[in-house]
Amino acid sequence: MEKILEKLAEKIITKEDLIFILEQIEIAKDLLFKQPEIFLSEKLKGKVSEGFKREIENLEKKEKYISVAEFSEFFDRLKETLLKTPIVKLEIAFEPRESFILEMREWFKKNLGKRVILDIFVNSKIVGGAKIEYQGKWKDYSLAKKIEKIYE
Amino acid sequence: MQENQILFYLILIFLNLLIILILIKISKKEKVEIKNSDLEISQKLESFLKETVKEEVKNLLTEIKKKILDEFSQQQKEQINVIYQKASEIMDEQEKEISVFYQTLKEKRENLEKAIKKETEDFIYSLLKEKETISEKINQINKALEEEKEEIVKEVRLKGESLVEEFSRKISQVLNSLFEEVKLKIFKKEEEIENYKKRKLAEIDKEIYRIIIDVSKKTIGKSIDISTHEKLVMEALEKAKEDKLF
Repeated sequence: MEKILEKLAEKIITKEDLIFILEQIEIAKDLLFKQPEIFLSEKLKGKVSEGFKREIENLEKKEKYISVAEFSEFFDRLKETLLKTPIVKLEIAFEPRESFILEMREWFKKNLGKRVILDIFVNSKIVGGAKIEYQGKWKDYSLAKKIEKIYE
Repeated sequence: MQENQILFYLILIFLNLLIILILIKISKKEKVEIKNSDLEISQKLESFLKETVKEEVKNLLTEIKKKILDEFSQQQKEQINVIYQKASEIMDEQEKEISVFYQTLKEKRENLEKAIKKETEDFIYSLLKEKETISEKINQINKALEEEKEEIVKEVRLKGESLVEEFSRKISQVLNSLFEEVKLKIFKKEEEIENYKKRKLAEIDKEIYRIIIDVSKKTIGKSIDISTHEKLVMEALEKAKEDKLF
């Protein structure tokens, strides 16, 4: 159960992912108490993302029997874990590729020693580089600022 | 006098009647004596006597009456004449008195007229004299006023001159201060214009820089490929780490 929780949390890289999975958790919790004789993965079919449904299915297979209460606790813990994950705000000048997002996530893991959620905002006016905000602190490492410094 | 006459006539009538009565008494006594003595007087004589006496009394009375009336008439006439005469005298006297009164009145009126005329003349004279005095006084006042006017004009002229002088001096002061103020204002305005110019030039410079920056940003931004962008972001993360942002 812990592994599944970690796997699901691992998949959450951006703020969009976080919002999406929180919505799916709420859907799953709603369906949890309806028709308890049916597997939750069955009930989630077509209502949540395939990946999320698959992880729930794996959980059901591995644990053999999970009570409604255990599932509810699982979802609560997952939600709590996700909400506790620190958010790094990044303002960048281009639309990042999936691979670059993963690269950034890895960099944070390596350099901070923990998982972070990236809140990415694209603004071409910063020209290049990034504006970074973490835990209330903010720094401008954009090219726009560097250009402005040249002409000051 | 009239009353005495009437009394006289009445006494006379009374005496006649007494005589007649005595005669009648006598005749009756004689008759009795005659009878007695058988000396009878004839009836005829008696009636004759009676008639005669009666006639005589009547005539006498008529005569007396007539006399009284004549006398009375005469007296009346006389009295009337006397009254007329008296009245005439009184009237004459009254006329005389009236004439005298009128004369007196006329005299008084004339005197009064004269007095009024005199009073009026005196009054007119006094008025004329008063007028003359007033005219004289007016002339004196006019003269005094003229003198006063000349004094005032002189004083006003003097004061006016000093006022004009003062006014000129003040105007000059005001103008000087005004010129100073204007000069100061011009200086301030020039300064303001200079500042404004500088500010505007700075703004223009800033705008130019902004345009240059924008152009640079756009040019550089367009010229940067994805991998360079990614590299720049990674560099930014490294720099943040160096800056202890994490």
